Amino acid sequence: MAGLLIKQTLSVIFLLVSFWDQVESDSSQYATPEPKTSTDVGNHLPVVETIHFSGSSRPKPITVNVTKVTKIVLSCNLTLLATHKSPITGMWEKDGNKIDKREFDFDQNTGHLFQNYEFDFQNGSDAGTYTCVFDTNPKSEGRFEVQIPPVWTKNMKEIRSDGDHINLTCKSDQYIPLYWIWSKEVKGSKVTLSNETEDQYYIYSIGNKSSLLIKSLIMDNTTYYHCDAVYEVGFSGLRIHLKVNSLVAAVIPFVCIVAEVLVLVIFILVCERKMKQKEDLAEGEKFPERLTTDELLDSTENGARHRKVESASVQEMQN
Amino acid sequence: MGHSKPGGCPPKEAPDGGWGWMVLIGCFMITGFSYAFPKAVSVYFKELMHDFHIGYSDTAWISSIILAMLYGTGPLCSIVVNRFSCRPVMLVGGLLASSGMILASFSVNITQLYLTAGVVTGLGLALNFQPSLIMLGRYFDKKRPLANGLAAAGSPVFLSALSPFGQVLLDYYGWRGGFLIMGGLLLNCCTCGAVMRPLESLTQNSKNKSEAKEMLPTTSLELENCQQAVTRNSTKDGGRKSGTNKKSWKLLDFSVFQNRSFVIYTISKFILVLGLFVPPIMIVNYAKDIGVPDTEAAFLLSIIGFIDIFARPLSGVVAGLDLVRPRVAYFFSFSMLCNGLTDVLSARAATYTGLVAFCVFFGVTYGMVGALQFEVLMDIVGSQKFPSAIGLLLLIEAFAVLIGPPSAGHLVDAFKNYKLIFYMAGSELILSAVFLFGAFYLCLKQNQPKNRKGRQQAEDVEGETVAMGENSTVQDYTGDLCESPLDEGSLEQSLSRVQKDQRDDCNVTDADSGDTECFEQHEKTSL
Repeated sequence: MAGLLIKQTLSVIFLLVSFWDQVESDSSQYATPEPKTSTDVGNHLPVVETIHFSGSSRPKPITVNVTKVTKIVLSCNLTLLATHKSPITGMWEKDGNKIDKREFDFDQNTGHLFQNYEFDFQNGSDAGTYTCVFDTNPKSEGRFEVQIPPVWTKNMKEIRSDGDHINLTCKSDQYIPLYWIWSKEVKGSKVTLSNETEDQYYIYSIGNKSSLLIKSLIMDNTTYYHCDAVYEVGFSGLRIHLKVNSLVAAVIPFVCIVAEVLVLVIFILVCERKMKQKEDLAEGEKFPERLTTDELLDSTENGARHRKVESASVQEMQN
Repeated sequence: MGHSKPGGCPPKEAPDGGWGWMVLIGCFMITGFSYAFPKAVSVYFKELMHDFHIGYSDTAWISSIILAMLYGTGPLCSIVVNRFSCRPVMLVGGLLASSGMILASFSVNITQLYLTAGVVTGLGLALNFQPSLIMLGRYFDKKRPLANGLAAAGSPVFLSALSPFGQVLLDYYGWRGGFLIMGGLLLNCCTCGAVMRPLESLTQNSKNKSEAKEMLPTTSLELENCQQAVTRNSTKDGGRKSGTNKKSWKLLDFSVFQNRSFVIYTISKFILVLGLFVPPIMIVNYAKDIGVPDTEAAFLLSIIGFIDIFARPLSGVVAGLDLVRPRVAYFFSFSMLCNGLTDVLSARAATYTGLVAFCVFFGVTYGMVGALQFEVLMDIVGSQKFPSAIGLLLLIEAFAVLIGPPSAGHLVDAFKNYKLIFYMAGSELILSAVFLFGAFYLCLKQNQPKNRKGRQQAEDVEGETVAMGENSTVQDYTGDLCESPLDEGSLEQSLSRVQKDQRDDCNVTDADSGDTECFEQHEKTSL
């Protein structure tokens, strides 16, 4: 009904833990070298997370980190005024898609509406955003982020020079993965790295930390490096970009440019000198050096012929 | 060809083409490098911050130092150019600029970077930039506005090319490799310097002697005078330090300040620079402030740059028109006025379209101002004093550059209001435009009657037209506008002094290089 008055109440979140029979993991499903689950067999506790909220408040989403195959119970507890009209419908959504269409009739007397959703978390596809929706006016929602816990690193981008070493580290906080996988991207596909494949890489993993040591960096090491923490239910990882700068590699283009400049400068200067020489020669033929004023004033054709005649006579004499 | 004077050797005319186009290309490249380099270096700042663990403002100092060297070493460059000639200075400048960047690629802390990439490269660029303008002014006379416009277009072209190129180098080689290759690119400034062939004066060598004799008028008296001058000079050693030549061969000619036009121009330029560079710096932040996404905000700058590329040569063409050329200073003040109005009217732009319109108009007017600034200066002081004039002008502009943009930034920080600085910048530009226009107009009114009288006297005395040909009036206009009181009174005296100076200047030979200050591209009736 429109105009529904919802009294604001304080909501207290408490965790209900109830013991359940464990769901045994079938270790043959996973090609794990060391089945750590063997020690935990019998202790898989179902994870129950509850959101309490009153009608008009928007509660903060709860993050549920899952590393093992467990049953998960998500519960929403809505507190309403008794004057609310019934029935109220409710549903669950996963990543925006409806997953439970039942209508619940709720207990009006206590003023609390419950919605529960149970499922088994088995692999990565079970992860997502689960929302309990109450068809009140306005709509009331409670969100659960169910995920495999993420890993962290100090820097997503690293820059080094060639010849350096670098230590890429990934941490997974309080969750200890089964093992870690490091890989690098080569032309779009991931290539797994291990201690045996190349000398350059050395992987050291312990508990919730793993580091990849790359020695003697070269320019080709510039790619994305993936670190993945593998759990029973899947893996979570991130990619770190490593860029290797190389001064040495820039020397070749530099030398080319310098050579080009030298060639151009020498070419220009030589051309200029040649042009000057040509003009000097040309002038020299027309006007011999050391002209005096008298010669100038006298510089008619007579003078030129005079000289020519002289030189011609000299040649005659020689012949 | 210039008119002959009794007792003087005819000066060499500006080619206005031919090899001048190569000089123009060189000038284009050097203008581009000089103005674009401080901006191009800024793409490396992020990696520098990461490598040296410093903040952005510390790295931004590199750009500021380069700009400071470009503007502040103006007088030093003038001195060096007056002492040696243009080409050696440019070759040395190119070597300095590139070696600065090469050394910078090996530096291990930020201080070394300041010294190498900042000081040395900045000095090298400055030693290249000024002489290139000087040579451009020598090679072009009738087409000088167009040449100035085309050369000034180098700045936006290189701005839009060097920054992405620097980014590519950074991504592939890192900042050290990038600096090394930029250093190699700067070596091309040497190539541009090699292109700047000195225009030989006529009394240089035998070739010129004979050429002179071919071209000399036929009176034997003149021949004799010229010949005597030549032989007299060839017996001197160096000739530069001789007594008569001393006063016309100053290392730094402060007498430009006696030229009232120059003083007016300097003041107006100072006010202009206070506000001219502020809007492009602030526009991106302003756009982001009003909600424009980052990429579109960055696109605004490229609009300005793109339009600038075309605006500069076009305004050079317009300034070369017969109608405009005599009044190029007024055209310059008109463009400043337009720029100021653009700033003021667009201060309230609240949409992306408004900002785009602002950028378009700003690009046009910015290009006009950029293309004309040195053309007007060349017009005012003439080619002989241009080296000293531009050095002093750049030094004075340096103070404005240091004051203007940072204070605008402080204003923004203080008042959190971008409109305020757009109004401020616009008003500074309008003030500068009005001042230039008004002062020139007043001086013109003052001097016109005197000038007319003076010219009449000069004509009577010398018995020849003293550069009153069609072309010379065009070039002399702004120079004649404002004469210093000293010269006004004794126009005759100054005239004969000019003649004597010209004769003496003609006789100055520089032993090793062919470049002297001797020839005058446009003959001025008075200093």
